[in-house]
Amino acid sequence: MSKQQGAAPAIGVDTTDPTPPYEQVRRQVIALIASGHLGPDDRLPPVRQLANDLGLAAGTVARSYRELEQDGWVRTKRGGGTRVGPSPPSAAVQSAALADLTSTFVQRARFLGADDASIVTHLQQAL
Amino acid sequence: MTQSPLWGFLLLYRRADTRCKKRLKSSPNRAAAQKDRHIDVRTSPPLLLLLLVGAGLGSILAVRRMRSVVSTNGPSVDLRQQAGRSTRWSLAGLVGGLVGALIISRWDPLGRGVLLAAPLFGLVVLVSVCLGETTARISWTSHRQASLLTRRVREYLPTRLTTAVIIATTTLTISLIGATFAGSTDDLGRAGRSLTVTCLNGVTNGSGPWPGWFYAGPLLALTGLGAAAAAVALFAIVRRSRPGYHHSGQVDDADPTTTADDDLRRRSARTVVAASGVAVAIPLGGVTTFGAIALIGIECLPLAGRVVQYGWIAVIPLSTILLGWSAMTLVGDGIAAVAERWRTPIQ
Repeated sequence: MSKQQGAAPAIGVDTTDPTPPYEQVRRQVIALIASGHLGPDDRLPPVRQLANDLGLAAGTVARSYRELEQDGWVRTKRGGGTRVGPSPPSAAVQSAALADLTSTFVQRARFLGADDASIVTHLQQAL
Repeated sequence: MTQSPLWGFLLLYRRADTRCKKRLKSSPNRAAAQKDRHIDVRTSPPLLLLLLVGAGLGSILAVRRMRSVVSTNGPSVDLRQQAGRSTRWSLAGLVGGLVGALIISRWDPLGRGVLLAAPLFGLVVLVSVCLGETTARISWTSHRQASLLTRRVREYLPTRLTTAVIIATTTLTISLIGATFAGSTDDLGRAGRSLTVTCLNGVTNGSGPWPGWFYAGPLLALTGLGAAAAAVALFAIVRRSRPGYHHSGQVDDADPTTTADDDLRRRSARTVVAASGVAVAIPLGGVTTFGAIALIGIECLPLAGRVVQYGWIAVIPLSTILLGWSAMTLVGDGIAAVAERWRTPIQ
């Protein structure tokens, strides 16, 4: 993403969350690409910039980027940084990512003490 | 050409230098006379006048930039602390650089210390800025957010001053490499400290001091170190943690904290470029002045040599303007930063 004024796509990390930070970053980037907030060829920030802004080790963000690249969500060129891939990965991979996100949501909702009916109600409200 | 003020300045200098040389030869104490000669060079009134005019023109350019004073009176304590940290390190760098420059300027009676003083000053400032950025501290909370906007070095650089510094650095490097190849040993066997040309009639013309390897070697080494330090400092400025997001819980790149943080980065980048400008402008002025003077002393100089001579003469006033511009940018930003600290103390 190049510099522009106004709200910008962002990701957050919760250090109290049992999910490892690299996984949190990976999932949020996938969600941003899948929702269209990040388009093809949009540039992701350098590993060190994102790591410093999130207070994480550079290796943590590097692992997220590496896994995103392995799944085909982003591509990295020497000197060109990390960019969103020209076309999103196959539907199966997208479906797997969605299932992954849903699983995380349900897991965290149950951790808060919510029952199935309450989870479905809140999900429907969000939709 | 002899009616040109600059040409007149060089001829005036040449006459003074020749008188010094004669005194040097006739003096029973060569070392004392040599010292006198260097004092003459440094206190030459036309040179001082040129420096003043250059500094004045440069100041006009610098003052136009001073209007964008960084405002760190935002909601983030982290940002105000970082502003204070950057200011302290920059001022420490300025003071340390000046002390270092004074010490090294006394190192070599043949002028290498004076020549290296400005690059050393710049290097100390650059290292200080780098330390100010890399020691940034953020009071992290458990929930942190970061924008996915990529910060680039060029977004924070002062365009015109950066262009001028890059051109000056390139000119200095090319001049030093060229002078190294053209130079020859002087009467005491010092490599590249003299320029020797054999005329068609077989008479050999020698002139010096020449900015050959004797001067170019240490200057190129220090300039290279300075360029590397500037690159490291600029990347440190860009990659420093962005304060504010984890407090507000929102990511808006137009909010006051983000804008103030960008202003702070811009000021640090300006300090880096201005320090590099000072580090390059003074040796560039010295190299071109002494090089041009040495070339004037060669009677049968080929056309290419004359072209270089006129080119160097043209560079002298430009280097003084760059010096004034860079120095006033450094001073102006220093004053603005200190004033800002007084107005908005950290709570």
